[in-house]
Amino acid sequence: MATVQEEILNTFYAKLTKSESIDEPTIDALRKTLTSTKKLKADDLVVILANTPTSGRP
Amino acid sequence: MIQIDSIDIREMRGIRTLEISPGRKSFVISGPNGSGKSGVVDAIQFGLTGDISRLSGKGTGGLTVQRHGPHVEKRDDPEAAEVSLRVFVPETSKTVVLKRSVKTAKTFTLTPEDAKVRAVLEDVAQHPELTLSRREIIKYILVEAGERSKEIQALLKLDDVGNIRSALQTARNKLSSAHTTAQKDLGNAENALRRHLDIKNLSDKDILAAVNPQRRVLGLAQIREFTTDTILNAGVLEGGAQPAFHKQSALRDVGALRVAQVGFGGLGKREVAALLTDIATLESDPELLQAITRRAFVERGLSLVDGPLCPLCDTEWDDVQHLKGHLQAKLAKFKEAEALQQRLLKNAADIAHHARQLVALIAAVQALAKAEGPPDFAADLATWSERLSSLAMSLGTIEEVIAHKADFEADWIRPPAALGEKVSAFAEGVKARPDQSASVAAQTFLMLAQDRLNLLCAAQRAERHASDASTRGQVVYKAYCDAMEEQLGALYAAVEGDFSTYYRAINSDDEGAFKAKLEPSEGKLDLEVAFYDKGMFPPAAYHSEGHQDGMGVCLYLALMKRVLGKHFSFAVLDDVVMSVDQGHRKQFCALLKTRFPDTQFIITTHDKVWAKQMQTEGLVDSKGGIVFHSWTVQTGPIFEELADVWGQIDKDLAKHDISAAAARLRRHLEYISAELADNLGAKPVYRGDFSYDLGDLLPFVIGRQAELLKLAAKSAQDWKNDDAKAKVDALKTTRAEVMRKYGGESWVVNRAVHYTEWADFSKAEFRAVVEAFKTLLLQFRCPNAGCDSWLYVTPRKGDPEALRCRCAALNLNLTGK
Repeated sequence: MATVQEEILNTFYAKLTKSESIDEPTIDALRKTLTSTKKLKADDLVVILANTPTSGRP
Repeated sequence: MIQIDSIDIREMRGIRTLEISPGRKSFVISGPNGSGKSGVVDAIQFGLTGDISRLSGKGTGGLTVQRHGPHVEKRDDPEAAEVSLRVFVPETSKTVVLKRSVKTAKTFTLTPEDAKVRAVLEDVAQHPELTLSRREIIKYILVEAGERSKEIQALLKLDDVGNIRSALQTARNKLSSAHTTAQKDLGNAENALRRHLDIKNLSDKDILAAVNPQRRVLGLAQIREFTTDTILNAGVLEGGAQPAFHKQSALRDVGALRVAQVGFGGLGKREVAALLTDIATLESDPELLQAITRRAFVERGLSLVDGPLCPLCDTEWDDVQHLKGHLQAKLAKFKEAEALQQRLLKNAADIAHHARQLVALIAAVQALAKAEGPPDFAADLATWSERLSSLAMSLGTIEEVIAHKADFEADWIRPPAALGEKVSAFAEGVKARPDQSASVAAQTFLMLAQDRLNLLCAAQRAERHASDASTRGQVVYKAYCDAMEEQLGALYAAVEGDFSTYYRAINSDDEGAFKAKLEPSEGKLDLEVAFYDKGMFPPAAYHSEGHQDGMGVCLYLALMKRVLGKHFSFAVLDDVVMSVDQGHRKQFCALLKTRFPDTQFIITTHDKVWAKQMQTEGLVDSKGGIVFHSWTVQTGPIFEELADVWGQIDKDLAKHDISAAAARLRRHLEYISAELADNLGAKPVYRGDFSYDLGDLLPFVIGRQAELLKLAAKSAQDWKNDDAKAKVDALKTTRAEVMRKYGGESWVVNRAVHYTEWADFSKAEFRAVVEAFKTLLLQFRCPNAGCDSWLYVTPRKGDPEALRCRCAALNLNLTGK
């Protein structure tokens, strides 16, 4: 039986998949970081969310 | 999970030796305050988890299981303090003995060893909430929404859910802050281009209107449409490189710096004043400053916790949960410091933005001065720009802001000496230069325009990138909060339903329409309950404390049902039933029996009547309880053992454990002496502290028995009741034989007074003592095996009228003619 925490994460990933702002590699990177046994750091999340390329000149 | 068959406690907390056999059924421990009930609870919790919650958490600084878990007489011998639990594990259908000593609290032995059973028991150790005390139920009801959320999330094992939310929130804030900086940089780049082109708006039309005339001068093609690929100086470079100096543009750049200089007095004035006020507050309140410093320190420590060893001071805690709880409690104290910190950093960030704006203005003039102006002016501008850049970069933490206090007090802008004169002189120098030819002016105009457009594009890309990242931060954080809200909402809705149902079941007489609302939001959990038909209110608003306690128990049961489901097979309710009043006890028993038929509850209460009622209502069976009478340091709880005490003493003696047998006999005699003194109306010497030991009571009980038999004999004679006379004669004869056999009343008295010597007796000597008391006590008990009650007189007050047992097999009249 999935724990409440696992259910929250699954719902979270499902919501991100529907979002236009978040691409698949970012979701994968988040999944990897959030399920890692390493201590979660906000700066790791900043790197993931800031490193997605932005295309085109305004 | 588990069910407890028996508990064997040695030298633990207030208990010397104690064996209890709940037999996997609910069990009640009753007795007055200070009689040792909580010692049993502590021992069970220790046995299951290796920890004792009473020795950790708020207000328990300095207490540890290692130092304060053992009985006070064994405080230097943690090995002597141990608990053995014979437990049944439903998942494996196996019964094992779990043994844990304070010396090696983190580990336990299993007999027989079994990997699956061990895994279950290790899981049980992660559920300290299986033991619920009254002070703990409060935290579900009478706390702020944020604290309730934390407590319930901890109960639901949702610690990581909160940690992830917190990390995502911090990431969102950092990305948002980076975006704000990028926006300011973009604004500076726009200003630089706008100033150079000498236009008010950076619209495509205005840009082309400024650029095309210059291109026409050079005979270059007009730019019809401004696109992302447009090169403003396309064709200019083909004619060779020209110095990037354009007189009018240079005068506008210098002019912008002069205008800014006029406003230096007011730039950042409000923010600096606020910063200096907050810094002064910190300096006048060292504890606040310390709190801020420690907050960062403790936060850092909390993020590094990965075991029971504190990463900050190397102190070893009993487990990681308690260490985390300790650090989180510290963090909670720093709220005021947190508000000040946020205000201070916000103002510092605004100063940093002003500094960046100035750096952008300086950069334009600095480039001119480097190429055209006096070298010392260019050097001054370079030094000034570097200092402001450094300031903008070093205002990210509270320590950095405080380190710049002198800058704020004096002049954080601190322009080069005589800047105004130097800028004016430089402007005059530019003005004095001969006008550029139309061709050169057009060339340099277009080259500088393209340079600044390139910088603007780079700033736009950076801003777009930062904006996207900030949006992603917000989307991800919101998605997580929504997911939390969705899942926890469903969970809380189920808990809310169960909670209301349980509470209604107990209070059906006057709150049959009771309902509750658990409302989760970002990091909070609001609880409101119906107060009759008057609306929804916080639990403490109108309900009595007793009702609030009842809510706490009901919410706990509802949560446990969700946390453990069918595995909720065991719980300790330590004094949490005290507030269930007489009128609702029947319903409370029914709730536990019917809603949790497979859960074994170990319940403590100081109310003996309540304990009896649990038996009457069938929550616990007739043998499912123990009554503590009082407590002494030497013996631990004094109690009536429902199990066969003489059989237990025989077992102790078979193991040559005279000490255990002596403690057991004394405990039993102390309890029975008090009971009989009360039952028979004995008149011991009054003690103001009500602290009667064996020697204070037993001689008076024996004397009282003789008095009552005399009264019964006289009554039988007065009323010519031959049957009663025969019964009294039989009792007197037996009593005389017992006294004669053991050397008269003085022997009993001496033995009772000098019981402390028993532990030093030989086995044979002590067995003789045991037999004597066993025979003696038979005189005070109904001989009918089905009754087995202790004799008592009626009425309890006034002259005694009868000596009887509960079944009335013995019922002697004590009144004469």
